[in-house]
Amino acid sequence: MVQAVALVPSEGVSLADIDALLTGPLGCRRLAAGRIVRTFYDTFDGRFYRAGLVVEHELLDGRAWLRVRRLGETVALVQAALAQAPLVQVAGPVSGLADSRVRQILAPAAAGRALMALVRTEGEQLRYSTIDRLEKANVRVSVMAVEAQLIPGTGNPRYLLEPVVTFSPVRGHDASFAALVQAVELRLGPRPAADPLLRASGVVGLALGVDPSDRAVALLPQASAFSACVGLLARAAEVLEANAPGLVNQLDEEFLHDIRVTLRATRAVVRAARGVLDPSCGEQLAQELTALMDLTSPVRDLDVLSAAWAGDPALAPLLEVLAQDHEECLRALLDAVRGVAWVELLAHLRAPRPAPSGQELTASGWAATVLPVELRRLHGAARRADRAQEPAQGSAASGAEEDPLHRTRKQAKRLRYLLDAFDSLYPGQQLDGLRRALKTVQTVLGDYQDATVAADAIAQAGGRLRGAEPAVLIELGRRSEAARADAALAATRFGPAYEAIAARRHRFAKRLAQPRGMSQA
Amino acid sequence: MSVIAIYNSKGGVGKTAATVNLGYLAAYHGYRTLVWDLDPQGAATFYFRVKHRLKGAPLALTTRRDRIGERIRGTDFDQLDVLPSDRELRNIDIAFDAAKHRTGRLRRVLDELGPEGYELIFIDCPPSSSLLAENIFAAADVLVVPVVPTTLSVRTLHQLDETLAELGPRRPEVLVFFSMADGRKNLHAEVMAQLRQERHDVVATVIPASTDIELMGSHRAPVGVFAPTGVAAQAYRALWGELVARGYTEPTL
Repeated sequence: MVQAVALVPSEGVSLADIDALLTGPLGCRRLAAGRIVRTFYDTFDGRFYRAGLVVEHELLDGRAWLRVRRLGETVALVQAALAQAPLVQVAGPVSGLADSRVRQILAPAAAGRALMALVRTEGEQLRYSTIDRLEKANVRVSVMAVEAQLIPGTGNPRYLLEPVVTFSPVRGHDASFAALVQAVELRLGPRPAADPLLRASGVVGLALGVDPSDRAVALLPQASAFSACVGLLARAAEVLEANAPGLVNQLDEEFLHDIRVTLRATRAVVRAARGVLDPSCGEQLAQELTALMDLTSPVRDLDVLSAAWAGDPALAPLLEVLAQDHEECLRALLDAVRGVAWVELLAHLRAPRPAPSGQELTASGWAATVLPVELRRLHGAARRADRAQEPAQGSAASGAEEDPLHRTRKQAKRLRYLLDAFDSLYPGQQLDGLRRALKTVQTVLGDYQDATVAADAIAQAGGRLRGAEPAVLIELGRRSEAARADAALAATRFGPAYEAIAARRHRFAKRLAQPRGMSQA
Repeated sequence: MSVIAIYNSKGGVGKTAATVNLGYLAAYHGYRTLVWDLDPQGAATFYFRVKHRLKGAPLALTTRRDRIGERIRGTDFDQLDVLPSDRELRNIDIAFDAAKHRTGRLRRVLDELGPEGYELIFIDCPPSSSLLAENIFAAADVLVVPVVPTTLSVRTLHQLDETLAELGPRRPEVLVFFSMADGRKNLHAEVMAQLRQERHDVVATVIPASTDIELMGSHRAPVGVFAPTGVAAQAYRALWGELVARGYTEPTL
């Protein structure tokens, strides 16, 4: 079966030139033109694209349908997914799909993730056909020049793509098809056109198929610690770069989340790389990472709070204040991500300098040195936090001293990030027990943090709402007290949760000291 | 791929007109569509301005399945192809009778068409209740049955029910619509009301007796092309809408 052919004419060939050629010497008949709007969707982590599938919502002359089509090479997963590929009329955006059969079919391939609009292309489609002596169409030709836009498209620029001439065969007229394609190739010197999604995403700067959450690097146990560090930092730069367009264009809050996690995890690696990285290089990176982290934290906190309180009429005045704060914080963050500091950070992550003294430390040796120390630090922080919960100690934190539970939470995160970074250096399930125990502790500390942040946010906003209705202020006070109570409750859960680590910390430390390539001593 | 057979053992009830118009609407809405003209009279082939073939269909259906794809021809409409009729199709029962798996030949041929990538296949069936009909029942996902609201036409519908009942769980779904209905005739109104009371598989759409449908032969095109705002075109659009709403246009998994 003859397949359709899409070609891009040589540079400088205009739509008028193509029209003149088709309707002149090639004898094509001009048909009614139409306007096509295509919106390409995927999950946040690009599952469809990585499986070789494209989810496409097309609007043409008032008709609309959703299709899942194959992209590039056919693999088994694609075949299986296409066996269930729907082509269904969907008038509105895909995000507005009801709980229909389409959604049910797409859900397993999306692994339950929401579909997110990525790129939109829009343009006029000029249509032609060649006709035989019986006045019957035997080749169909369309010419399109579209504008591509990263969406949501309110403020995003539109980029005009080069025109594409598409030839669609009519069954039983293969010879006419081949002759027309050859004639156009000869006169316009065209080259094959890439897939519309690839062309559009390339122009708007979207990195397709990259899992923006995946920070994993396969480290070699006997490689030098510095080379392992280079790999981890380079991957971090890739993840930051892949998430930046999503953050700048506000596609989804998950992009900010991934940037935050990467900044934190990278800061943990840099901090652990004393003696591996040049001290001035390490210090500079740590400062740059911290500066960006400080800009992301309020935005993320305000995102979470606004989502949690959205739709609560009692908190409407508070939400207005939070929205103003959010706008301000977001502007500062986006300025930084669009600015020189961001570019410098990526450059520094990609070109770290080694420590000047001749360090012979291997990657495994680095992990075996660093991780037990971080576990010990966590234990120290946890003991202080636990002591602070005792009634005799009174309030957990006072004055300028950092809240011990908050400090423990940060140390637990640091250990978790380093476990992730060095994961490939440990055999199979060696660290599973520690991971499970750490996760339990982190959950409790996360609840404590959320409640504390909520209470602080209400207290701060309350100060700015003094002129509000008494009923609003009373409600805010009630919510603040409730948040404090939640924090206190989470704090009491910390001790029992941490016991899972405390009871086995010597065993965990021993396992951390035994990555691949290290002696069992 | 979903296979929709437009079937009635009675002739002259609007099967071909329905096939041609539904096929056109499916392609218009973006479905890659094939209309298979199994009627040796070849009216659907004629409407789509495709040349009849003289011979070979029975052989292709029974012994040389792999060549059936070569017979497909494009129409004037994007996404719509036709597998043209063949005068020798009148002998198809004889060929089926001589073949192995004589009631499953059509299904096998449809399976062979899988790689062609058609999302919807409409079969324009000849008025028959022979071995070809049994093949159609085995191959189709749904039988769309046009019924002229007259006593005789309703009787053939009951006969179809009896035949399908014999197939047990392998029987295809049935969707009935009234065709060539004339609102001025009391008999038509009474038959339609009564059948709607008796059955749950009768759709709301009624295709009227219309000059536009008769003009399809002159224009050699679906009514949506030359009289898109006419009553007949609107009725076919409504019928297509009911097929979509009932899920018959979605691929069978």
